[in-house]
Amino acid sequence: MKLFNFTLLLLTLLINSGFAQKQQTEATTRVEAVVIEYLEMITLADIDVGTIIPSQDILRLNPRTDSGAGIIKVQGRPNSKVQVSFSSQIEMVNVATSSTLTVTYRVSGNKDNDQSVSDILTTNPEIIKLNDIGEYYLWIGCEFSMANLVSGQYDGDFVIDVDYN
Amino acid sequence: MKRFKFSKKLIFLLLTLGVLCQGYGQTIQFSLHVSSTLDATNENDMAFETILSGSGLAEINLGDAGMGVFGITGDNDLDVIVTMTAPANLAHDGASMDVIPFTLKFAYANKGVNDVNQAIEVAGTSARFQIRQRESGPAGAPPTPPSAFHTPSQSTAYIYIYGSMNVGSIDAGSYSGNVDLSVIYD
Repeated sequence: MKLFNFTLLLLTLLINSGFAQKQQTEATTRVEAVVIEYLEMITLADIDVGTIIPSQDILRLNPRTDSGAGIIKVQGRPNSKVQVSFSSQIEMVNVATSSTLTVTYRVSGNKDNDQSVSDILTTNPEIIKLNDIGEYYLWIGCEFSMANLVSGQYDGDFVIDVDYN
Repeated sequence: MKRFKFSKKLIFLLLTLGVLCQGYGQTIQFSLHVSSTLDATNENDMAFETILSGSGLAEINLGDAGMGVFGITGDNDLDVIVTMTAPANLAHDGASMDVIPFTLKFAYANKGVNDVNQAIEVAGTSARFQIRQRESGPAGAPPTPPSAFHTPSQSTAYIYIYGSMNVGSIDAGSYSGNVDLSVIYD
């Protein structure tokens, strides 16, 4: 009788192992998204130094007070901090004679489009904060020596970079 | 006493023969059972196109290039139950705590080829289907169980995952999450 019971148990185990084994498997995939932040600059006005009078020793275009200052509007995420860096000094080249002209730039900024209360950017790069509609205004002034200046057209690029901080 | 002894021997003999016969036959029948195999693989991750912060709803639709794809290989005739587990949000891969709400959809193609045009969209997070859909017509005989003498033919069914995310005004960077697929023979 013990032998018979053992056989029944054996059969039960075999039956279970045969029928109850359900195959199961798993796999995983990754979902990815890359988010970038909108940030751009719009040139509202180029630098206009006006008519240069030869008798001047140095030409100064104050970014806070001169109407000829260049104007750039920065647009991005509201209230975000942005790092601004710019060329503080560049060599401009006379297109006819290849003589150079060293120009030093100064930049002031304001969250509103009001040049008169803008603040001079004292460090380079400098961190600014966009206003609640995502805007910030920059005024670009410059300064260069008139001594030994060869008349003609001078070309050069003033570069300004902005990036989220 | 003799009768008694004879009876004990007879009973023992009968039991022994019965046990041996029954045990031998049953053991042969079940010990040769070969389980069907079932494999799932990740064929392609799901990837949204680069998107601007704050731009709102972004979708990958069925058939779009960014779909994720799973392959499930198993016995042609058997049904499987597939279950998806997806995160409610994609998390920033860096230090930011910002998230992107994410909604998953999926579809399956079970005609033996990786062809999204044959895919059947699923409502919900689980579906039951045959590894390889039989041709139209009346159902055939029940599938022959796998054994030492019969190995069922197998096919691959394909799962396509797609869906949408809602990008609010969040930090820039990479966001991700894992979608888990669980498959079991029904």
